[in-house]
Amino acid sequence: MYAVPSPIVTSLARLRGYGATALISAVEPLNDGPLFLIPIGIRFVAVLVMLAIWRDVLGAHPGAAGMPLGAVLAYTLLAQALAPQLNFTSDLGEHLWDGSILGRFLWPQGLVAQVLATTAGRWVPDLALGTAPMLLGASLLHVSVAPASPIALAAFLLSLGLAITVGLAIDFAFTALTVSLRTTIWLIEQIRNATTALLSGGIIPLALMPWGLGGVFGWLPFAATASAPLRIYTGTGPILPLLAGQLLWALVLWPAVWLLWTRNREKVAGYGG
Amino acid sequence: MGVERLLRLWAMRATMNASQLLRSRGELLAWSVTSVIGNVGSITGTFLIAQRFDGIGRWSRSEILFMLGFAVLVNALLNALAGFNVGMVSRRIGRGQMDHTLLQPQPLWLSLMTEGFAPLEELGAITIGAGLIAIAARGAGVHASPAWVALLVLQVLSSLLILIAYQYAWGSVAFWTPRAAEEINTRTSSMTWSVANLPLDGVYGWLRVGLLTAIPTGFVAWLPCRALLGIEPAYPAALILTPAAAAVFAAIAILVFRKGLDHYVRTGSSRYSTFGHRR
Repeated sequence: MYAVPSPIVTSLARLRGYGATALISAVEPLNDGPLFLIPIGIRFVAVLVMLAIWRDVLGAHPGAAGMPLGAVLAYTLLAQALAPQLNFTSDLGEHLWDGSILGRFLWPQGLVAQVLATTAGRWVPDLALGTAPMLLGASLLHVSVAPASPIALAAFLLSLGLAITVGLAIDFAFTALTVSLRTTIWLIEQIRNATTALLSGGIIPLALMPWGLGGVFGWLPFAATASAPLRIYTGTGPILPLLAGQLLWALVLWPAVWLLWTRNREKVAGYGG
Repeated sequence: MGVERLLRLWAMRATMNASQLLRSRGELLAWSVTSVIGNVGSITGTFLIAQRFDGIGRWSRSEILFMLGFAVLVNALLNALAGFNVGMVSRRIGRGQMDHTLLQPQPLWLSLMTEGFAPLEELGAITIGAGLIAIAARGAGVHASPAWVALLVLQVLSSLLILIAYQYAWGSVAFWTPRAAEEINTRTSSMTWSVANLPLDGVYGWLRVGLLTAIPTGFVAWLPCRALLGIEPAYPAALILTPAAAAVFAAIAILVFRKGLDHYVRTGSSRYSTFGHRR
């Protein structure tokens, strides 16, 4: 007689599936050989150059916009160390480009779960070879990356989770936009790359922008992906309002993005090749 | 004869580029707007820092703007001259598409110099880059004599040559390992441009040397603009550093590319299937 598996067994099987997907994605970059280290190396170079610039600039303007030099340096280093998490970018665009997204629809997993599992898997080598050495080597660069307080650390972890949730929604929004406009992924990617990192505060802390731009950008969803967790960690922003803002964006964006995606997914066409 | 044919082929490519872009108003608008947003977006971060703090280190606000205009112009010219993966040559080699170029009844250099010519979608970015240079030069108190303008043109062309040579030197790796190195130029391009819009005066000495040799980021805009604007402390023979580096990078690229091509003409590409797709 056939026994119906219990919900716990089903859930565990699903989790195992997501784990296996993440594991495959974790080892996939290693196929490129040493080339997969280049993006990590770029982040090391970027952090060294940005630290030099902030020391140069803030040496002449100490405490600009209420951010002491130490906090700005920690913010900058952490922004690069956690860049993949603070600027969630999946490989959905590439799947649209080469047509493999059609195969993804046939996987026995939801698309959101697939994207989350594959992207999280890709983070594993990056965390080991990029994030960890950057944080551990911070003292060599005379940067203290200790959190502002134990509460700030706990709130940061919560905020990072919300940042990834909002980032994932934004990633799906850009994918849906590409399909909806029936345009090439390069156009949308170029616009995305040119705008999101800046608007999110992932390059320059929003408080250090001129003309009060940071105040305006702080209200946009992009700020929920990078500025909010970094401000919480460095103690340069109020914890509760920042967390509330992130939660609000997650609650507003997901239904809207899901609607946009379900209305456009039928337009996906794959030619392969 | 060579120059005449080069100009004729450029004119033909420009016409093809125009007919592609003008087939619909939407297409034209999309490519033009994206090019402008991409270029302006890439320099906005540095511009905002300079605006907020009245310059960066030794560089005044106008001098930073000059450097950013220079970077936009170089990037736009690079895209206009080396589009369609001519500037990302590892993709052409790695995908077996170099065979198409080798089959053309003309020298390889002529094909590579003309096949990627797509100037129209970069017109907006070229205008922005040149405009920023003109405005910022006035703000920085530069006396734009004909000799200075000639030096500016020389520096822009040298930066372009360095970028193309660097891509070709690395892209040639795909002659030996087509599959693994197909996307190597995507990585080398990211390396070169990652901090190209930032002044490198304050960084560690060893890093600055690395960013002028192993990765030629400093030659994209920082070093040539430093020389043109006379930023202190001046380096000896500052104005000939970038053209001299261009000659060295070009020599290395030609040497490596030739070696790779010698290997390729013996082995060919295993990635080109009989029905035209890469494996």
